[in-house]
Amino acid sequence: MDLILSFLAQIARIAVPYAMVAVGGCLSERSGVVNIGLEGILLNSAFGTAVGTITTGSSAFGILCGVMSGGATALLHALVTVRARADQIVSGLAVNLASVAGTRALLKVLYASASNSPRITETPLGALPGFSVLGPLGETIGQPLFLAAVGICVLAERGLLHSGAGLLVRAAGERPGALEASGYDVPRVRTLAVVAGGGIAGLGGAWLAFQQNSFTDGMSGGRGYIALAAMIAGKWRPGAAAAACIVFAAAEALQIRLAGRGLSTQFLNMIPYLVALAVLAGWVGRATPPAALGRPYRRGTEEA
Amino acid sequence: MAPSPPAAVSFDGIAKRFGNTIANDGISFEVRPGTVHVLLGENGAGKTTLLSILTGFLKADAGEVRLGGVPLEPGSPRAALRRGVGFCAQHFLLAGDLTGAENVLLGRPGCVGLRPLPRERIARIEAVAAANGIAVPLDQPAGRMSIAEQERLEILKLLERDSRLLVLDEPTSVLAPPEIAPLFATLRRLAAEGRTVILVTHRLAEVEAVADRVTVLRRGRVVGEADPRTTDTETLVRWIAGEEPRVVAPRRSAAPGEVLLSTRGLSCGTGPSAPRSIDLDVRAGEIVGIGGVLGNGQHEIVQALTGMLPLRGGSVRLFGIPYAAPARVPLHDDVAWIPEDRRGEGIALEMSLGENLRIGMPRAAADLTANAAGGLLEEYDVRPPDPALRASHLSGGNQQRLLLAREMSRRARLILAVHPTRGLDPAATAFVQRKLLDARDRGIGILLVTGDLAELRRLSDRLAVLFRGRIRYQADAAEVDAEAMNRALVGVEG
Amino acid sequence: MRARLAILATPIVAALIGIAIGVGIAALLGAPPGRFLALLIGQTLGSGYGFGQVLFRATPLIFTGLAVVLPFRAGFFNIGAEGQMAVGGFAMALAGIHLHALPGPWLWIACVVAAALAGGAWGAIAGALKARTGAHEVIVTILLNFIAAALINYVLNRWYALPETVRTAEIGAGAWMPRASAAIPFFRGSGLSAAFVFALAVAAGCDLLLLRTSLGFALRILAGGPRRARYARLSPSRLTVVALSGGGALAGLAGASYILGYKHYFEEGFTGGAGFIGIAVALLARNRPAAVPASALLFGILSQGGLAVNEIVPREIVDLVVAIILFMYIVLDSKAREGTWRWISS
Repeated sequence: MDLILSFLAQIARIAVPYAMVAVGGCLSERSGVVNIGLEGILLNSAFGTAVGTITTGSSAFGILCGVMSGGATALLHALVTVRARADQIVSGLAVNLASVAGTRALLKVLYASASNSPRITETPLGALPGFSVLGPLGETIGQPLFLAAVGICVLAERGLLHSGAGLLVRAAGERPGALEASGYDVPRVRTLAVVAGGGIAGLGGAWLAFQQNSFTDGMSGGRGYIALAAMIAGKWRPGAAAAACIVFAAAEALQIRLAGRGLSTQFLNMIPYLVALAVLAGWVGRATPPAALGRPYRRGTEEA
Repeated sequence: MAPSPPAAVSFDGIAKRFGNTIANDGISFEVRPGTVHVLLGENGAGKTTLLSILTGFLKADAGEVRLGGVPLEPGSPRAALRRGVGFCAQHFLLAGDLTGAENVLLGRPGCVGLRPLPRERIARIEAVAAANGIAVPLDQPAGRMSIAEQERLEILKLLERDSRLLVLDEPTSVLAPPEIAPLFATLRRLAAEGRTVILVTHRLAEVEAVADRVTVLRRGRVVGEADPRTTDTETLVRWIAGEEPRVVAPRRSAAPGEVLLSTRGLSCGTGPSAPRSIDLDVRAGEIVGIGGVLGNGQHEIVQALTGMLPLRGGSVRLFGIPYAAPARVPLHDDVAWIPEDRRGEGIALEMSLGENLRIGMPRAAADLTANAAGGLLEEYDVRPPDPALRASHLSGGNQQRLLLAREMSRRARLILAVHPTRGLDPAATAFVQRKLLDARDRGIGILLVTGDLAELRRLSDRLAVLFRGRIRYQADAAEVDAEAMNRALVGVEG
Repeated sequence: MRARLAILATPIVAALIGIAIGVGIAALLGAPPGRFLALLIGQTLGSGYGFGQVLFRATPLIFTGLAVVLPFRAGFFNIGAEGQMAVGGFAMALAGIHLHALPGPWLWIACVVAAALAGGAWGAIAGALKARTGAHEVIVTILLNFIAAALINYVLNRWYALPETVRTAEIGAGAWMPRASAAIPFFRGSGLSAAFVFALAVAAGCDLLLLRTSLGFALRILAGGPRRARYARLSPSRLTVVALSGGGALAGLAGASYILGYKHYFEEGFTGGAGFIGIAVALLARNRPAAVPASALLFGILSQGGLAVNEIVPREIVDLVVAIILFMYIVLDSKAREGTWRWISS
C-alpha cells in the first residue's frame, strides 16, 4: 500500500511543473499568443527561486522570486510579440536561448559554478496536518505549495471558461475584431494573459527548484515543450491540460522506476517525448486551436 | 400643420471618390424614424461606401450625415456607436468558440469581472429575444449555429446595446427563403417600437414585402425613391439596371465544335446561395457567360470545376472524361484558370514576374527565356515589363494583366475566366475582351464569370444568370430578352 | 526604395545593437568595454589562429543555417537542426568506422552520403507527420531533438563508446579532410579544414537548387499554401516531406567540420547548440542561401569571441548576444515591413 502511495506521490511531484506550464500556456494561447518560451521561463523561475531562497533564507521569498521571474520573462515576450507584432515563434526561441545562457552566466558569476547552485536548505511549508492519513502521498499533496498549484488549475479552468474576464481573453484569441468592437484594447488583454501565464509557469519552476534542492544547469529538460503538447491534448482547457500532464508525469515516473531494472535509462528517457509526439500526431484526436492564434493584431485592421 | 419630427438619418450631398472611381456622387435622401428603409442597387452602385460613411469606417469627401438633425462626427466608428448606430455586417463579427450569450455580453459593463456572467443579464437577453420573436440558441457556440441563427445573434447584439438605428448589409444573402420571413417580422416589430432600420441589398424581390420606402442607387447617384407598395416592380427594376446600352455582340466566325466541358445537375458547397442542379455545356469556339450579382454561387461553380470544392451532386465531364472531385489531383494541364482572387492562387507576390509566368506551366514551356518573358509582358501591357521585378510592386491592375498573360499563353483548350477584367481601366478591359474573343475564334472554349452585365452581353455566345445558386435565365446571345434577364438578376420571378 | 534599404539594413542594425548591449552587460559584470571589445575583435580577426577558428566555427553554422533556410522557403520552420545534425554526424562516424578500409575519397563520399541520408530521414519524420496529420513542425522538430539525443546516447553507450568516454573510435583515414594549417601556415593551430570549402560549395548548390531548378521553384510555390501549390499543378504533401528532409540532410552534413576535418570521431554533444544558432544565421541571412556564409561568419566571430572573452566574463554572454540579436531582428523586421521605420523612410 505504501508502495502505491509513494508512487502516486512521485507522480504528483513530477506533475506540478508540467501542469503549471500547461495552464500558463493555455492562458497565453487562448489570448492568441504562441509562447514556446515557456521552457525558458521554467528554467528562469527555477533559478530565480534558488537565488531568492539562498540569498534571503526564506522559501516564501524564493517562491515570489520564481513567480516574478516567470512574469517578467513573459512580459518581454509579450512586448516583442504583441506590442511590436514580431514573430512569436522566434521570440519564444530567443527567450529559451537567453534563459539557458543567462542562467548559466549568472551561475558562474554568483556561485562560481558551471553547473550547480548551492543547495537550497529552506523548504517551503510542509504538509498541512490531516493529510498524514495518506502517508507518503499526503506528505506531497498536503503541502501548501501543491495545494496552491491545484487551486490555480481550478481557478484557471473556471476563470478562463466561465468568467467575464476569461471571456475577454478568449475573444482576443478567437476573434480580436469582436473584442475591439466591444471597446477593449486587444494588445492589453493579450499582454496581461501572457504575463499571467508566465507567472503561473513560474510557480512550476519554483516547485522544480525545491524538489531538486538546487538549481542545475538545464534542469527544465524539455518539460516546457512536453507541457505544450499536453496543452494541445487538453484542447486548450486548463483542467484537461492539467489532466494530460498527470499522464505525462506518470510516464516519467514509470521511466524512473524502470530505470533500475535493467532497461537502459537512455532508452527510457525517450518515453515522455515519444508520448508527446504521439499526442501531437493526433492520437488523442485533432485539436482546433483558437482561431486567431499566432496572428499579430493591428488595431482597426479587422473591419466588420 | 404640426412640424414633423427630424429624420432619423439624413444624407446631405455625400460624395466620396477612390482614386479615379467616384463611389458616391452627391447623395441626398432622408430616412424617417420608425420605418424600414431599403437602399437598393447593383454591385458598384455605391451602397457599401455610403454604409461605411454612416457607420464611421470611412470619411466622406463632401456632404454631411445627420442623425435626428444632429450632425454625426465623421470617420469615427466609436462616435457612430455612441449615437446609437448599430451595424450588422455581411460577414458577422462573432467569436465562433464563444456561446451566443457570451458573444452578446462580450465586454459589456458588469460582465468583465471574475464572476460568471450574471444570470439576470442573460435572462434579459432572452426576454428581448422573445419579445422580438428572435429565436437563437444562446447556450450554443456561435460557430455551430446556422447562418440564420448567427445573423439573429448579431441583431440581438445590437438590441442589447439598445441601438436606435439598425443598419443591415445584405441581410438576406445568407438566408434561405423560408428564413427571411421571420427576420422581416422582427424588423417590422423593431420599427414599430420606434427604431429605424436601414437595409442595404440588391435583392428587390425579397425586400418588397418589408420596405416602407426604397431608395435606388446607380453609379453613385440616387436615381429614384418610392414606396414599394404603390410602385410597380418594373419601374424599380429599370431604376436598378438602367437603360440598356446598345451592345453589338460580334458574330461568331464558325460554328462551335466539340463539347469540352459538360456539367449535369452540378451541386456543390453549402448555404442558400450554393450552386444547385447546374447544367452547363461549353463547346470549343464559344464563350458561355455566367452572370449575376456577386455572391449567388458563381465562384463556387468554378471552384468545383477546379477541384477546390467537392461535388455534392451531379457530374462533370472534362474533355469527355468524368472529372473526379475533390481533386487532390492538381489542375488539368489543358485548362487555364483565371481565379477570382488573384492574390490567393493566381499571383505569387513574393516572386518575380518572370517566375510568375512559369507557375503551373508544363515542363517544356517552363523555360521561358528573359526575352520571351519580356515580350509576353509587353504584349499584355504589364507595366513595367521587367521579368526580374517582384510582383508585389505591381499595381492591382497590372497584376491582373500578369495573370492574364500567363493564363492566355498556356495553350489551353478550355479557359475558366472569373472576373477577368476586374480592376482594369477601360482600355485594358477592351484589350482583354478582344483577347478572349480571339481565343474563342481560334477554337478555344471559354467559361466566363462576370458581374458586369455589359461585358456579359458583349462577350457571351450563350449566357445564363444565376440567383441563389440556380440558373434563372439562359439564352443565346442573339435572343436575349433584356427585361427577363434583369428580373432574374434581382430574383424577381417571371 | 527607402523601404528596401530599411529591410536590407535590418540584419546589420540588429547585430550592432546586440553586440552593443552585450558590451553593456559585460560592463555590468565588471568587464571594461574596451577590454571586452579588444578581446572580442582582437582574438577573432586579429590573428591567423583566431580567424581560422572563426571560419572553423562558422562551418557547421553554414550547414545548419541552410538547414533552416531551405524548409523556410517552402513555408516550414525547422527547429530540429540540432537533432538532425547529431543523427547525421553519428551516421557519418559510423560509416567511417565500419567502412574504414575504403580508400579516400570513396570513404569520404560514403560518410557524407550516410550523414545526408540519416539527417534527411530524421527530417522526413517531421515532414511526414506534418503532411499526414498536420502536426505543427515547430514542436515536433523540438521533440525530435530530445529523442535524437536519447537515441544516440543509447546506441553510443551500448555499442560504440570507447571505455570511460562519450566518443567513438576514430574514422578511417580515407575520410579525413585536410587541415588548413597544413597548407596555409597563417592558420596554424586552428581547427579549420577543407570542410569550410565544402560548406561554401553546398551553400552555392543550395542557392542554385532553390532559385534555378524546378524543384526549388516548386518548394517556393509551396510557401504560398497548399491551394497555391495545387493551382500550380504540384502535390503539397510530397513537397512537404521533401522540404523537411532536405533541411534535415543539410543539417546532417554539419558534422563534417568536426568529424571529418578536426577530431575524426563522434563525440556526444559536439553539436554545441549549432542547430539553434542556425536559426539566427538563417534569419539574418534573410533566408537566402547565398547570404548564409556571411551570416554564419558573424556568428562564428561571436562564438570564437565568446571563448576569448571568457577570461573576463562568462562566455555565455555571447549566447545572450545572439538572443538579443534575434529579438532586435524580429522587432526591426516587423517595423520595417509595416513601413513605420520613419527615420529611414522619412
